[in-house]
Amino acid sequence: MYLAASSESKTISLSRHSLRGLTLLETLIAMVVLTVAILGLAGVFISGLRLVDASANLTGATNVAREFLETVKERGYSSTSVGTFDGRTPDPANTTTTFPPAPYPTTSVGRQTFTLVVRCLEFSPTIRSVQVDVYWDQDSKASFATMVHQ
Amino acid sequence: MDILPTKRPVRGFALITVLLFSGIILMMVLALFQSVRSELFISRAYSDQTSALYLAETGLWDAVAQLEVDPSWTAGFSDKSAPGLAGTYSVNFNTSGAQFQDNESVNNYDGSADANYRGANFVPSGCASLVVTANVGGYQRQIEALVRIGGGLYPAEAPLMTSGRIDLRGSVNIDGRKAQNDPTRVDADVHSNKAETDPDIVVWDGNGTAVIDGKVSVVASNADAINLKTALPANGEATGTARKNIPDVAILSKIQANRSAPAAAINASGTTVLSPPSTTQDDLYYSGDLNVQGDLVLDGVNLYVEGDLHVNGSVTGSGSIFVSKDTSLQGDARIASATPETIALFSEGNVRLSGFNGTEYMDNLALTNPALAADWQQLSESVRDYQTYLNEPGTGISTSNQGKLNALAQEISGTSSSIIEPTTVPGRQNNVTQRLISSLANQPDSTSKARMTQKFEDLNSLFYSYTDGSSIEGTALQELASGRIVRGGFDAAIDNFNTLGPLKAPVKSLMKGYVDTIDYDHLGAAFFQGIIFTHGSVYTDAEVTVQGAIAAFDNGSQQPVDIDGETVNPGDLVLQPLTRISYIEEFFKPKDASGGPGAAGVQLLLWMGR
Repeated sequence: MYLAASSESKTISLSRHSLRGLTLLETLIAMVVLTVAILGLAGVFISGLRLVDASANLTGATNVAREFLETVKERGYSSTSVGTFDGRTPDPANTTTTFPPAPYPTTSVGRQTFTLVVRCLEFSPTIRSVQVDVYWDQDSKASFATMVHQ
Repeated sequence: MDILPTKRPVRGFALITVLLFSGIILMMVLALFQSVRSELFISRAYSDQTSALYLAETGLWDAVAQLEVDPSWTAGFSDKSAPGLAGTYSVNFNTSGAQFQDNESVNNYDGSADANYRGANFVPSGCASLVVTANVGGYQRQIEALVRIGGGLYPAEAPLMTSGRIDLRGSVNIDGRKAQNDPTRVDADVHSNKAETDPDIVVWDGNGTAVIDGKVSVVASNADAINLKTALPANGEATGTARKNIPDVAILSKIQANRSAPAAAINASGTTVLSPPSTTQDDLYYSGDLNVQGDLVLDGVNLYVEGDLHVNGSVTGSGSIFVSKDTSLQGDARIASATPETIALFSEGNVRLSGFNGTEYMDNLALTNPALAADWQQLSESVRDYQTYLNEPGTGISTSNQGKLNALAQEISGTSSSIIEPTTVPGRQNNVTQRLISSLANQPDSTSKARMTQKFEDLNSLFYSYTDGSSIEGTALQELASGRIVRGGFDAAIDNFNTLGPLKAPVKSLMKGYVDTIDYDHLGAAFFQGIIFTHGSVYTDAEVTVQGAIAAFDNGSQQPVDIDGETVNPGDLVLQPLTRISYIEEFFKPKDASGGPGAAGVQLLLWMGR
């Protein structure tokens, strides 16, 4: 049978031989490649999610600061009190002038909580500067400031 | 035999498929990552732009602070940073005279800067355009604001300022106070920019008493330029001084620019109230000579009159009047003003302020009516005593003085028969204002009668006593505590003073400030509150009280005029006997809290570029 086999039969016999274990090997290699790829991409994905969070937090902090400073401007010079008001402590607001106004000392936007630190200084006899540092996630912060004229 | 060759392409299919999908996923994740990064950049840009906007505002107020110290400030800022904040801001003034650029500021405080900067009269005299550029994290924001230096109505530095002569006649009183509700004295200077070596540029005729609670100065250096006879200004006299800034006002061009404004509707008689025609329009125009037979009340409008203006009554409220020719006003009958409402009168031609001779009218009636004479004298004394007892030092009022103030209020306006008279003044009767009103009711009708009746009614209302503990008394007290002078408010405050707590000081200050403005010796004076500015002359007759300031600037547009047989030149101020000018600093420097010399208030007029 063997000797009588045609060249075509030989070819078939060799091909079958070379295919032995190929599916398993191929699958294993594919799995390794896929695992490496997925792990790599997962890292990128997680970084992306962090950036999304950072972006959302920065926007949220900016909006919180903006809301605060606009309230200060709307209420005017007479509503301000010179001093530092640390929402992390928290220092109580001045009950006479109700300064700093809400959202001091803390406010939540979505799942994030922002804490405000407010500094009000005499810039000139008629002008006070009001700076607000908006903190989130322990040490992240954004600082904004405005001035109010008597 | 035919099957196997067809299976040949299957080799490596799984790997290729995985690689293919991995590539696709990689591209998708990278696209997602890129998108997220873009979002973060956008968030940072939003944050930085917001920060830049606030930093620009900070720069603007920094510039305002500089102008308050030095109204002529043009040094500007170059990339200045604010402590604790990222970024810098800059303010650049054009001082070279070159063509103004969009990012340049202009200070036209002294009226010398290019009047055509960004359009005719865009930056009027006494104003500045501040352009602030802020840079934060690569982002830039620019804002612009028009500010008035000197604040308020007009940057008047003194109650009387002119380019011509100042002629004071008879008893005249020129004083100054910090604010309507703050009687703290401020200098009340009298100044002429007239440089010609003429004698008697500032002169007083020596009849009666002249009180000038400030300095009298002229630019002319000749010693006889000031001739005040026996009068001694509180801060002395000076010749050869520097010119004071009397900012010019382009009256005619403002009127011409408002010809298309809605026409002002004037009542034939009675009170005319002019209100803004819409929420976005506060200008009204009147073509031709305007004669108002009655009171004119401006409810926050600017009235442009292309002709003469004559008001046979009072002008009150808040707003501005621009007159292309001459102006004559009779003056208000109020005893004082409880509000910071002010009128800014800008007259191209001459201004004549006529009182209604109220004191003279009452004195004449008193000659033949002993009862009225006693009441008339008592009213003056009671008001004077009220001022005295309210002027107790400190923020409180002693129980003893509360009793006396209660008694005095009863004397002026009381309805109770059980009056506790101050022991030092026996014989006074209650409700003197009502008895004076009744006495006047028997007199023939006249302007003086009507005006004096109104004054007595005002005083009656001011010192009126509501029933103790009544709800209406409580309402009056609340109004007073909120800074509003209302009927019965004074009595309510005195009755309940010890319960006011932290409001004691502001309530007392409000009452004191108001009562102090009542000139008890001249209760018949006409009253005008605000600024009078003219390119012609100002002439007062009869008793006139001006709370504010008078400024005259001869720009060559007017000719000398004959008034009652005497020639008065443009820029001249002629104040007849019993004129009182009280400079109210807050009208002109409302933002100055320091009280320091040279500090001018700055008022924001217009925001742009936000």
